Amino acid sequence: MTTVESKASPPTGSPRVSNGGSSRLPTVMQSVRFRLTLLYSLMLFGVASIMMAGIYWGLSSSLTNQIVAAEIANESNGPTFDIEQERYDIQEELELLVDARTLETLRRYSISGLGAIFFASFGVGWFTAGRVLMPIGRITRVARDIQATDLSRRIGLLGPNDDLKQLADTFDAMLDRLQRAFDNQQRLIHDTSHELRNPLAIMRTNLDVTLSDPDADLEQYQHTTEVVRRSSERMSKLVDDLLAYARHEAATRVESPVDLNQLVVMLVDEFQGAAEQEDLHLDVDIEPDLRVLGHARSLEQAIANLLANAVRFAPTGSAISIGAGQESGWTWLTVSDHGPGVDEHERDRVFQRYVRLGEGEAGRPHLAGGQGSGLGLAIVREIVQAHRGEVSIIDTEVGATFAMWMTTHHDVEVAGEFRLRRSKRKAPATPVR
Amino acid sequence: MRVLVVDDEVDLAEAIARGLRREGYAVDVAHDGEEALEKARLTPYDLICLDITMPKMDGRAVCRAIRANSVHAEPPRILMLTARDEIQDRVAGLDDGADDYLVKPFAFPELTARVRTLMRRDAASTGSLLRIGSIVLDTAAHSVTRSGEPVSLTSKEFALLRYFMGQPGVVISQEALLEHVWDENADPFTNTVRVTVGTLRRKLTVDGEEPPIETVIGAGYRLFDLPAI
Repeated sequence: MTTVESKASPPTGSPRVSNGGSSRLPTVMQSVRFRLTLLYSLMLFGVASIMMAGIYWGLSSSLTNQIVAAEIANESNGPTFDIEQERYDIQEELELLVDARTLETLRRYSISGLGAIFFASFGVGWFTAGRVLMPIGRITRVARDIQATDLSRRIGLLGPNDDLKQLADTFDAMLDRLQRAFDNQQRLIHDTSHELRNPLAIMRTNLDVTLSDPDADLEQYQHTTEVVRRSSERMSKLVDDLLAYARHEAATRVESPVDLNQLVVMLVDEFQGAAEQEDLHLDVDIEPDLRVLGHARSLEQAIANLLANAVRFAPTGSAISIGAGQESGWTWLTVSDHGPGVDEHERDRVFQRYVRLGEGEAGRPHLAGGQGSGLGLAIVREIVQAHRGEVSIIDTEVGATFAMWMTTHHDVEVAGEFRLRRSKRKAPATPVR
Repeated sequence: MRVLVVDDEVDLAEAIARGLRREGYAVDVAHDGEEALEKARLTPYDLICLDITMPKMDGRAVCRAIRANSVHAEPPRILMLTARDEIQDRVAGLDDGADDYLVKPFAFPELTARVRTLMRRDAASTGSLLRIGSIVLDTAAHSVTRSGEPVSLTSKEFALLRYFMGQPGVVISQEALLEHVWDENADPFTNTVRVTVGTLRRKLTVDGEEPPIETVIGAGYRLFDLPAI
């Protein structure tokens, strides 16, 4: 049998330790097992004592009230002879003596019985508490073994589905979630550090080459500063998107009905400027009263990323169309451009972090260097999947069409209430972040 | 020495090319794997600086393809440039046939040092000095002396002399010189090779001595193989 390690309770955790008196207790006496045992045996001892006292009291009162010799005398119609009377008296005295001795014996046995019960219950209690608390010891050991970097261990408690099994399972589920989040974080950091290396390498090499050239002319210095500016822009874009990514990760998972129509109108408004700069036309064709269940700011981010992607790839003078509608419980939204499109075998890959397709061929060479961070579409997928939806690229004759599906929300009343809140929020020109 | 720089980051590839050209290499640039493979098929590069993560075809695939079907007598040296620095990435890169591995971002002097090292691996020399007769060429310091006297050369003349010194005593055709010392922008129909060889020969000739480079009519040029003094 495994004993519950009394060290499991943190030394400063219980206030009892801080007052000088109980800190002198041996550690074993501070354990839950000991306390349970003590409680158990004290209660058993108390119950046994009460029972013994009851038996003793009952017996003693019944013994002293009923004199057997007198009863016999009464049965033979009263004492008639003195001799008879004398005999009865002696018998009665004898009886009282026997009673006293019996009670004395009972008392002696009771006390030693109580003593035996106390020790026996202590032993049984210690054993039982140990058995019951054994899984806790296991949980404690596993929890202590888990380091911040190794979340792979699990308690994996076997046995009946009782309170402790549920505790262990909850703990395991929490570890699963932690490990997933931790792995995801590690991968993100890993990918990001690689991603930052490219602009850094560009800056470093350009600076090295130009600065070490004694014959470098003004034109070369201008070119170098231009390259450095482009790279730093790319890095700040990456940092911005990383923050957006982190914000989404940290966003509350509280979902509420979101007015998709309003969201799209707001975003189209926001992108109008960027689109006009490239002589792009934003074409909106969405069904009325579209509501989805979700996190408004996250969905806004996802749609904004799709729009930014379209604006980047659309050839100058073309149109970007935004469509939305409902179909069998789903609400869909599409963003189409007339850009270079995405090859069929690349369609899943573009949603991976830091995967970029040949942007040089976007037909807008003036965008060279204005590359995306490689996070935009990954963020879209992350958000949509968190909403139990899906995002993909669908077949079109020209360009690329990104489609996202979300869960439709039917409760019109709540939606109306939400729309009120949302319209209040719309006051500042830029969306609140 | 003819070098191909392959990187999908245009700004990076151009900067590397600019720096290497200044070091006297003839440099071509490719921006994706397919273009790199095509160029490597047409030109017998001495060295390829190859980025790993690229669209269409990544650097490792390019490296394997170059190693698998080498069409040139002298296979190119391959220096991989990449942002991935885990040991398994390096091992995988070297297993694919790369000769060396450099992690981005790198200091440019380190790149040129590694290029120099890779270039001299097959030459019998050690360190950065090449010696033929009384000519001493320092690949790191970019200087040439003849009988202890410094000789001032342009970077193209320097690159030409270095190529000659790699194969002393061997007749080298004008085409080979064009392929290894000039980059793809050189016009093969001009007399640029003849003119440059002529100036180099004049600069290396000490009064009263025989010129170290001779013209083999109809075949090319040859640097006399003399023991170092």
